[in-house]
Amino acid sequence: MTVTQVNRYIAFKLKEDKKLKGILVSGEISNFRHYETSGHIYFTLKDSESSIRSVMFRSYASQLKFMPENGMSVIVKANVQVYEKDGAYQLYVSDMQPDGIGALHMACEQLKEKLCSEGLFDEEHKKSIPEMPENIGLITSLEAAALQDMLRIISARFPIAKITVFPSLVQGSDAPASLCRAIKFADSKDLDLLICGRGGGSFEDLMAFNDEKLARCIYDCRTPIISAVGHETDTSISDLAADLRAPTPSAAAEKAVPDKNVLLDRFDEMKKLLDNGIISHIENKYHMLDMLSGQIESLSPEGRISASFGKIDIYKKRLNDLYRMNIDKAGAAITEKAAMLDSLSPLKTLSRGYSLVYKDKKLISSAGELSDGDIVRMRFSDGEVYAKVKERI
Amino acid sequence: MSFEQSIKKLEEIISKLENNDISLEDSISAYREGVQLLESCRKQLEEAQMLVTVEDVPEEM
Repeated sequence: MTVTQVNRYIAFKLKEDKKLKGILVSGEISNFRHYETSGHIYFTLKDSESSIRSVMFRSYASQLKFMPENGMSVIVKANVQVYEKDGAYQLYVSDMQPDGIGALHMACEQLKEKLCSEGLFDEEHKKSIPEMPENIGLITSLEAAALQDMLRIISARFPIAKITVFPSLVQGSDAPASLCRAIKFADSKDLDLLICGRGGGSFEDLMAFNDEKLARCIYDCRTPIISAVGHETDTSISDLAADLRAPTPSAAAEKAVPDKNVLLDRFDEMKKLLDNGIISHIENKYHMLDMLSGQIESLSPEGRISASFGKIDIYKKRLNDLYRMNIDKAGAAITEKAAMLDSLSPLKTLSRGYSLVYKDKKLISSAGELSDGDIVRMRFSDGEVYAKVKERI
Repeated sequence: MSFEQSIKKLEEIISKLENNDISLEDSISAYREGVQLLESCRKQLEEAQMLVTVEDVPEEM
C-alpha cells in the first residue's frame, strides 16, 4: 500500500461518516491567516487540551459579519475532512459565530434543525392569512413601542378591525411560557388572525422566541398567526413556525390588513363596473327593442289589411255594377214582355172584329164541339152576349 | 355579513351584471343591491373607529 492509498482510504472513511458532517464546534482561534488574494481563511481551533487545523474558503469567509482574530472564542459549523497531501484531517468551516452568545446560537441552530426535520416549518402546514381580518389578536407586551406601532398602522389602514391585546412577557426566562399561555388563550377566542411578536433587541433579548415549546404552541395554533420578532435581519424559530413571518411588528401590521385607500379606490372601480353593467344592459334591451320593432313592422298585417280594403272596394264596385246591370236588364225585359203581352192580348184581336165563344165557361175552338140547341156565351171587345146554336152547318 | 363577505358579494353582483343573459328586471335589482351594498361598505370603512380591548390572560390555561 502506498502513502497516498492510506491517506485516500482514511479520507474516504471520514467522508462516509455522517457524524462528521455539519458539526458545531466551539473553540478559540489561533494562527489566524487571511489571504487577501485568494480570500481563504486558515486558522487553528483549540480548547484547553487540544487543537485542530481549520480552513474557511472564500465563498463562506466573504459571508462573515465579523472579522475573526487570534484569541477569539467562536463556534464554527464544519465538516471534518482529510487534506490528503499532508495526511492531516481538518475542519472545513462553512459558518462561524462569535461565542458567548455563540453558545446560545448553537443551541438555537440545533433546535432549528430538529424542528425543521420534524416538519414544523413545512409550507404545507401553513394556514393562509385572511384578506380582511376583522377580529385580530395581538400577543405582545403592553409596554412596548411595538404594540403602539401596530395599533397605529392597523387603525390607519383598516379601522374596521377590532383588536384584542393579550398581554405577555416578551423577554426573559418566563417569557416563553407567558407567550404560550397567551397564544392558547387567544386561539380559544375564535379570532380571524393573531400577531405575536416584539420589537428589536439583542440576541439574548429575542431568545424567548427561539423556544421549543413556543414553536410547538405556534405550530398547534388553529388561528392563522403572524410572527414578527425584532428587526429585519433577525429570524427567530417562532418566525419559522408561524404561518407568516414579518420582519418587524410594523411590517406585520401592514401585512395583516388591507389599506383603506386601496379599498376606497377599489370601491370607485366597483361603482364604475356596476354603472357600466347596468348601462350596457339597458342599451342592450333598447337595441333589442329596435330590432324587434323592425321585425314587427315587417310582419305587421297593416299592409295586408289596407290591401284587403282596396280589394273590398273593387268587389263592392263590381257588385254594384252587376246589380245595376241586372236591374236595367230586368227592366228592359219587363218592358219588352209588356209590349209582347200587349200585342198578344186577345182583347186587341177582339177589337179587330173577332169574338170568343164559351160553352159552360170553356173556350170553344172547333165547331165540332158544339151541338144544335147549345147555349153559348160570346165575348166581344165591348161586351158579351148569349146565343143559341140553330144548326151545325 | 362581515366586511369581507360584503365585498365578495359585491364581486358576485358585478359578475352577474356583466352576464348579458339575465333579464332587465334582474339586472336592475342586482344594480340596486350592488349600489346599496357598495355605499354601506364605503360608509362602514370611512366611519369605522378601530376598537381596542385588552384581555388579561389567565395564569392557568
